[in-house]
Amino acid sequence: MIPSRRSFLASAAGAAAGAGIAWLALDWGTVDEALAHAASAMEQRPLPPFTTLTPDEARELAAVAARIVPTTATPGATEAGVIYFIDRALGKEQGRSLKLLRAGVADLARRAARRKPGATRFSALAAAEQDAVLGDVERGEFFQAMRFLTMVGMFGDPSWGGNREAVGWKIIGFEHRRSYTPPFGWYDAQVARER
Amino acid sequence: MTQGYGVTYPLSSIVDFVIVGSGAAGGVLAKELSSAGFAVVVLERGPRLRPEEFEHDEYKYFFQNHIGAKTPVTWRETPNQVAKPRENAIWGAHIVGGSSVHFTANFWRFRPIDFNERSVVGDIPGAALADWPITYDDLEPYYTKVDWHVGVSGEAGGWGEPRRSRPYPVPPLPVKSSGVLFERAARKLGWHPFPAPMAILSRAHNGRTPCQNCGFCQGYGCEFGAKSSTLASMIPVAERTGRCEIRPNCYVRKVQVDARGRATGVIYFDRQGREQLQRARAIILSCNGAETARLLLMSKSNRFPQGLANSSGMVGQHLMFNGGSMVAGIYEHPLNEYKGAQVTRIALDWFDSDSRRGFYGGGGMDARGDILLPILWGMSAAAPGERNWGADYKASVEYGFTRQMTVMGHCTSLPVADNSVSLDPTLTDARGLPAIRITYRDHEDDLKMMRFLLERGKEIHAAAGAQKVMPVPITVSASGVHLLGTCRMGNDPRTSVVDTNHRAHDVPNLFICDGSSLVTSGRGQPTMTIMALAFRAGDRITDLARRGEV
Ligand SMILES: Cc1cc2nc3c(=O)[nH]c(=O)nc-3n(C[C@H](O)[C@H](O)[C@H](O)COP(=O)(O)OP(=O)(O)OC[C@H]3O[C@@H](n4cnc5c(N)ncnc54)[C@H](O)[C@@H]3O)c2cc1C
Ligand code: SF4
Repeated sequence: MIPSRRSFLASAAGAAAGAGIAWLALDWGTVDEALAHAASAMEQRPLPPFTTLTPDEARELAAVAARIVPTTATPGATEAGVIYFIDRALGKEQGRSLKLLRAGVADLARRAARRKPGATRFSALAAAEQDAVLGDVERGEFFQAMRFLTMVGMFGDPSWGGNREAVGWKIIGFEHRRSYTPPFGWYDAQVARER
Repeated sequence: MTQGYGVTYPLSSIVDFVIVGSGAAGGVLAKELSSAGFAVVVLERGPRLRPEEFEHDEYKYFFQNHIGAKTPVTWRETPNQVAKPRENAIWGAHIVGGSSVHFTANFWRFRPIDFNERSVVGDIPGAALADWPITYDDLEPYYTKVDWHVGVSGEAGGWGEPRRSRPYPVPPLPVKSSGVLFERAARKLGWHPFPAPMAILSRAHNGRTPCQNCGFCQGYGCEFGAKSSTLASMIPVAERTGRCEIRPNCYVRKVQVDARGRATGVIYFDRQGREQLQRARAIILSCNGAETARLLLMSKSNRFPQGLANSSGMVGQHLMFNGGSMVAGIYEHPLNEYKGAQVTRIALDWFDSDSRRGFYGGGGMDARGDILLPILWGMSAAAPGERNWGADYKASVEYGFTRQMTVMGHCTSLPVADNSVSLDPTLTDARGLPAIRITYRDHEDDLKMMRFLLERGKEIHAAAGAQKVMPVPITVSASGVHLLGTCRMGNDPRTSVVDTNHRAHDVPNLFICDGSSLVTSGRGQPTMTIMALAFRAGDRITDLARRGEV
């Protein structure tokens, strides 16, 4: 039963919009640098062509990913190159989601048009409007699949094509080493100090 | 690389023992029987990985089931329903070393009460609680063998600890922040926390390296060989005898019997998908509580129309998972639970069933990182009901990753006859063999015990000063990690599948030893007991074979 409870936390769709948590502010100093570095790396490196998605599809899905993990004071899905992970994965191990995501892109375009007369695509909406559209579909399969792929592209091993410059790991404080020596955290260090 | 470890027997040979499955039980039996001088072939469905082939890759291991069990599973709650396919419904590994390779390595001994609880608490309506035909004292020497041969870290004298004949071979792992917070809070609440016994080496032992605190532990293989899987501890010893061949990528589909009702060999698909027959004087099934039952049910014949060893109809019944509870909490300072083994402190104050609670059940608790690696945390940082995407959510992912820990409860599952493994009537795997059909609904008392532990988990976080507490609501089990009880041991052939020697009541040269042998579930962490049973079975089977009684 343990994995089901774990995945419950992982998949529970947020119902109440706006019930966000006001966490204490992070110490952004360390991550500003990562953000700047990631942004310049994105600019300098010629972007690889998409292999599975069309440029239009990629732009729309990248826009969705950028609302799931937005760029704030720290890098988000855009800087992490999440869409490149998604494009590669859809041609390989996540191939079975391709149809679902394509249908989702079309659905978002229809919803965008309904929200803003004349709009032909989701990515053309302002951020707040995009969020409202996504709020309407957040419990659906398309959004759940995009949320999963975005998190893997943001926080997975960079060898899978996302998490560029390990920005996803930097913003959460995960340093990836093969081994560590204790103390590991603040509380066990405190005990070690008292000894 | 899969060759060149031990002996290679010609396919035409008749060996003394074929063991199907190289996991917690199969790995121990391979070592014990080959050390006793027998010719042993172990057929393992999964591949063989060298320690350095284990990777720190969350996407691959956790989300693509890289070493995980591959049999499709269908699920229903009661026998009158049609079971529906369910992904990740049961957890295990198909790999040399089995699920002991990627398990979390919590290693609690069962206690005397686990073996005779039916006599102590009486009948529980809706359950088939039974005493074991063996006692804690029968198993104690073998628990000690597990401690020393397989390698367990810990400190003797934990709360309520039963008699142990030797101390632990190596001391507890270094305490983590989760352990510090848990211990402090539990003391405040009047409970008795102590260092967790873990199947992980804290010091070099038996020529193996100690834990390097890499953190990719629960759900991953240990590249240092510090986790005491049978792959790291038993299988190399078995191969050094020169009498044991581990044959990976071999998927057994049937146990073959002759006209006299004796097992003659097993039929399997080899790496190339060709059917092969391996003959043996005796056969041991150690495929785990789901796959062993499935294999017996697939081994139907004219003589055994209900499936092999199933004259009692008990094969597959009384499936038990162990109940559980989870409460995540966020703290002011970083814990960095992604470093190190999962668990360093536990409390077992609720081990005994207590009628004052108003229901049957016992359990224990630990604190751990659990949701400790980046992708999983990226998906899990919201409490149920909160929006789990967008800028606010991102802020809680960033804030909480290093600051979270989970308090887990683990408890009894009652054996219920309808809770079972059977063959799905329609769904098959890629080879056309039937999917596993699970029928499972937790006994009401199991659910009450889980809710009880959920409350204790909230109390721990409150007493430890958590900033935010995220309990996961208790619901009926929708998946299982511990797969227990489906070929239960007993003296009566009408109500059990194997005898105290792990011999099938119906087939004199067929033995079954793994999670399926358990009569009760314990309070969680069954694998210490599965390995102790395997050491004991090794002794019993060796005796029988030497006396010519196999
Ligand atoms: C993520 C995770 C964490 C866990 N944590 C803990 C813990 O902390 N403490 C604890 O006590 N337990 C834990 N467990 C449970 C533990 O892993 C199992 O209880 C234990 O490994 C079961 O031992 P076994 O011998 O019955 O089967 P397994 O170890 O599963 O071995 C069975 C083997 O048989 C092979 N096999 C199956 N069918 C066939 C076939 N037809 N032909 C050939 N080979 C076959 C399989 O590939 C496998 O290698 C955990 C499990 C998981 C998945
Ligand atoms: S935490 Fe220790 S035992 Fe676990 S995989 Fe890493 S080194 Fe091995």
